[in-house]
Amino acid sequence: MKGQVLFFSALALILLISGSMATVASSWVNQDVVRSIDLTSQLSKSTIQIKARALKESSVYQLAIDSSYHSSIQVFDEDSRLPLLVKFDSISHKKVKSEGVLNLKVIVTLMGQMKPYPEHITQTQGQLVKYTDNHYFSTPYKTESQKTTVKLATAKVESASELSPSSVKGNTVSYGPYKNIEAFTVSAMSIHFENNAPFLVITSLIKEYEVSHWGNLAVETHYDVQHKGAALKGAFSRLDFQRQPSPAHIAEIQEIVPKSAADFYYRDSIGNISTSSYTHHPNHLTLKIVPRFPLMGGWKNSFYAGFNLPVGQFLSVDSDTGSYVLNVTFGVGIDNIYVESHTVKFILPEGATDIKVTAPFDVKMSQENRKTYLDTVGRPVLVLHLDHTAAENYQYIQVSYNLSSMAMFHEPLLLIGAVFALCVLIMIYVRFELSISKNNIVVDKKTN
Amino acid sequence: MSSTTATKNRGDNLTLSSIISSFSDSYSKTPQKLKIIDLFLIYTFLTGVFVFGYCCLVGTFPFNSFLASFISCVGCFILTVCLRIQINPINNFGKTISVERAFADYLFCNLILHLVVFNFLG
Amino acid sequence: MSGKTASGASNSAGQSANLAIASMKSIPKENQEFLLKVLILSIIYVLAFSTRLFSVLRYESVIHEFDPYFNFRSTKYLVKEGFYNFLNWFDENSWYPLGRIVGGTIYPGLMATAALVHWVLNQINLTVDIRNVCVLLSPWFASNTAMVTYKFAKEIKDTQTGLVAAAMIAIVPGYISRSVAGSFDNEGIAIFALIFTYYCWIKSVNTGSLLWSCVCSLAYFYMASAWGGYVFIINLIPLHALALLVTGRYSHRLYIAYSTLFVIGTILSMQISFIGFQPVQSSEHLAAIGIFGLLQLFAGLNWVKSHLSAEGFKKLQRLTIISVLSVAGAVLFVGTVTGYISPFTGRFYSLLDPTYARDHIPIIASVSEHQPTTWASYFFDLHILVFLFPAGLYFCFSKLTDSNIFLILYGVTSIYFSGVMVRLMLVLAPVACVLAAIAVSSTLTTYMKKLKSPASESNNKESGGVMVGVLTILLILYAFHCTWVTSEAYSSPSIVLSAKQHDGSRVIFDDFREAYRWIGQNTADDARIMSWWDYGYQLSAMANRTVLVDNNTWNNSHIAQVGKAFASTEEDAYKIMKDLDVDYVLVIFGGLTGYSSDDINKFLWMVRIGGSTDPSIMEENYLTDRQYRIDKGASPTMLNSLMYKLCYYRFSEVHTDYQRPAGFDRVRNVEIGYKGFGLTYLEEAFTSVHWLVRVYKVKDFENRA
Repeated sequence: MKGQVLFFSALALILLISGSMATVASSWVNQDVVRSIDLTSQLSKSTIQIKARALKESSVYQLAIDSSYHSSIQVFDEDSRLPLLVKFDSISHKKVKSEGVLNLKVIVTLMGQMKPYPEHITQTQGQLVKYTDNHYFSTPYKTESQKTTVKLATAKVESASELSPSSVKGNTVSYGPYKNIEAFTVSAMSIHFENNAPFLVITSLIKEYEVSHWGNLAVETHYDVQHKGAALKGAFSRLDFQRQPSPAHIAEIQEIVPKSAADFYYRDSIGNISTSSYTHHPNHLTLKIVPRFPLMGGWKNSFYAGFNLPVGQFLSVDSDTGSYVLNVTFGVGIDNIYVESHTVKFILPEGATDIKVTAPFDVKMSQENRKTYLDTVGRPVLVLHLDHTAAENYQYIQVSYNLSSMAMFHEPLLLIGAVFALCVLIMIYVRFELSISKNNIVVDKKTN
Repeated sequence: MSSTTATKNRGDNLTLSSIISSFSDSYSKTPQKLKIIDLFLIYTFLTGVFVFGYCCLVGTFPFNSFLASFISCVGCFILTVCLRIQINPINNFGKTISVERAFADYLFCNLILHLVVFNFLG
Repeated sequence: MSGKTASGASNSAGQSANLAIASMKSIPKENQEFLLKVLILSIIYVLAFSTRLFSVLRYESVIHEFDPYFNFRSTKYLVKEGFYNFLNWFDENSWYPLGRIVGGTIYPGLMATAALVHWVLNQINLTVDIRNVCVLLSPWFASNTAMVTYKFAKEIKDTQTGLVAAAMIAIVPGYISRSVAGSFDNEGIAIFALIFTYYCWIKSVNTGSLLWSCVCSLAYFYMASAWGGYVFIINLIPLHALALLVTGRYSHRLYIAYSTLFVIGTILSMQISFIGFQPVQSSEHLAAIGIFGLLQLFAGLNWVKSHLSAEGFKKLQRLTIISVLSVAGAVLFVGTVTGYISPFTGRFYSLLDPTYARDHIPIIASVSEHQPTTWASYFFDLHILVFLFPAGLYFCFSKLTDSNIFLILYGVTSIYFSGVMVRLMLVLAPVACVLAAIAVSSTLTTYMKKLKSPASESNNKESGGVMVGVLTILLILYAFHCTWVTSEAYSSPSIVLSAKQHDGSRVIFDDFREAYRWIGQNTADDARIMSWWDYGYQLSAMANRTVLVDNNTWNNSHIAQVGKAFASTEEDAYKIMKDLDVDYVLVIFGGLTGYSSDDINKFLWMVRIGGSTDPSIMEENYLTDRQYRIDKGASPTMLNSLMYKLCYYRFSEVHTDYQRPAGFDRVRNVEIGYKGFGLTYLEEAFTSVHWLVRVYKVKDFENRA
């Protein structure tokens, strides 16, 4: 109930704000909208095919997404199959003349929309979740015809809201077709069904890339994971769990890493964890991380894992400016998760200057300093931070910096200098006379 | 160990006073340097007795302060006795430890002792 | 070298080879010996470090056992908060609800050393993690101990003895057992401080220099800050001084050395808050004070003697001795009677009388390290040193010097103490190495001379060859034995277990850390855990939660309450646990995997300790016919105790072995007696994957209807 009230109030707010943009609202008409919502994992993935007719010449198409949702949007132009730039709700595309038709494919991933209901379950019960959304496609334009199909994780549906014509068949719920729906129309949809997919939420993800021009790129990721599905109430019996594992528990995490990764390690603050393995695939490696204990609802854990990559595959030199460009992914290769606090740190070699970032999305940037082995002034650390990330952020970003060619000799020279200083000290010490009186030495030698 | 004193006093009456007088005769022959050290020793000893007596009168409440001052007196006494032994030409320390070395060691030990005493005084 | 013909070139080659050999021979003998010595010592240094690294290479760099976890946690606190806060630290998270004054009840030397090493390394930007510093500190100090043992033996005898002693102590198992990588405990540092103090003592007795005496007191201060075994030093050195007095070896050097050491050492040792004023009040230090007085008397009388005649001196001597002894005796009597001089504490009394602890203080008797030493462990820990030890004693007796007497006394007293407690084998190991080194080196010297002598008598060469060969074989066997013992017996981290399966692959049991991690992540931040005191330090360090009792065992009645809770029925235990505000209970259960150090095997100690304060808990109630059983023939009190229920909860539904019935305990090798029961006041919160650790939540009070 509470969710529905929030939903309504949020949409009402948008109505108010966008009511003033009436002029914008009348620039498009949605001829046909086909929505397919995938609810098989913990994220709700909606693929929306929009065929829109422009009422006047424009190059911007608006969406209406509730700002209280944690959403991630990707848009593709169906005709050219190219991705389009999305800024908040506005999609920029090439100019469409009046009465021209625009075909868009919008992929919206919503995080945290499926709430566990009941919130506490025992060890053997399945996990029931409630999904709330709009029966109609939320848009600031009038929609002439639309249809929605919802694919559920299982066929066990407790209840599904109805708005004729709608039907429930197995694990699919269909809504529509609906004709001539006005802009900003809201009709609450709520589906209560069983979803035992792993509700793995990474409350804090910190990924560190340490660049060394001696040939190694060290990647280390710190995970703080929590199972945010229905919380476990009552006892946890290992016997029952070993006989029949609970439907909704998280036993392992699979991460996809580049094919050239090597030297894996997996630890937490109290020591090494030995339950991990990796398998080979044609284009990548799959790292299987098994936490120390299985995550039941409400349980959390934290650990870190890392590996080494050859830096040559990811670092290149920009021929125009002469600066080094590092091309790596921003996220981790784990499916169907969402990250509440996502931080990526780049530890660049000592003496790196002019650090710049190119990313296909906005990030918060800051800089730190870190001292580690054989450093004198410390290495610059570039910190990028983003909250509530999902799949669209798992793209490649580029970090560029300048480094003088002499900087590579810094560490060997330091070591050589240390050994040299030691030898000089020994030479001086051996030649010094540090006794109180010369007589002592003479006498000692004679008695020997 | 002087033998002249023994031959001189053979057959004398061995009363306490005669022992004391023979002792003081023999003692007066020690070098001046050592006599000065002996004066310092007597001063340190009396200070220690005084500190102990004060503690018996007043009580041991800041026990660490009492211990610090008492051990400071005892320590100075012992270290000076050791210095005296090392400097005394009768004991054959001269070959292995010169007078300067003995004094340098004495200074070092005193430094350590008094650092600890200051730390312990509270 | 240009312009030479072919034959001339070959000539010059031959000439240059001869020149090389000649120049090698022309290196003066001292330089050859110096080079050899430095080479041998470097190899010994690296060897001592690397032989202790087995568990790091096999498992990981992790802290072992129980006590080191507390030391590690304290070191982390010191690094984070600073030295002043560390000395004043009051820990509220252990011994709930009493808390523990950590600053005043530990020996801070170990933590201070580790923190100092960490600080120095980080200042030069070698960012070594504090855990790695703690894990590798003991092996590094073992290398340093080998070097100091070399100097010690060299001071007593000669360089050859020193080298053999250093080589022996680098690998002797008695020392390795407490200083392996990961064993971050006081003994790792203390043995280094011990040998260093003894080396400085011998040096100051031999030279009579004030500087060496002062360095000896500083080394004694380091030892006092590191380990409670400093009492051994402060009793052995007066014993040595007494022995020198009795054998007529009084000299000015002894007086200087002992007096300086006593005065400066006493006030230095009182700087440690745990030691406090014991050096002037407890009976353990009485010997030192007594010998100090005796030495003053000796020196004073000697000085007066030098100024008097023989007869006069005799009269004065008798008078002075009688008066001084009677005054001392009176002071001692008054002090002991009024209680000002505290009597021996239980710990040290149990050293003199091994049966004392068993009858009077069950906590001290229950610690596994305090059990008496068996004959087998002497050979296991010392190998050939066992019979080279008396040989070394013989060589010491044959040429008595001041330092030899010290070595004899050290050897004999440590043999006695090592027989009382297994833990003190550590104190015997260094002196056994030195004495064995004396034996080996003297024998080798004699027989090598015979080998090298011109062949005047053929007997000489043969006997020399045989003896040298036998000694070589013995030393080789010693090296093999030590490495084997280190690898098999002393390198298990005990926090991670491993076993070999039928097909030879290793299975790792990481249950302890799994359960501690679960507790640390999934319980409330202020949750209180009740477990037996063995696991207190590990729980505090790894799970970071408040515990009721831990390995410090300073409060016997608090531990007795926990023991009583485990030994009572579930209902009585619930009352006790609610009184103590317990949220979770942790037990260790080995019945599924065959792990034999679990809580059921320790249960009788819990009953004894619980019964020491509450007479209603009697050990006989838990036994049947004086036997400890958990099968159908077990006593009803045993079957209804909380410990039984918590360990075997739902165990009756498990088949551990296909030929055996359900509920077959693989450690006790019987089927359990009470099956199919439930728990009313607790519920199972977590069990680790091999059932080694079981955590139960204490239910809240029922709402009144």
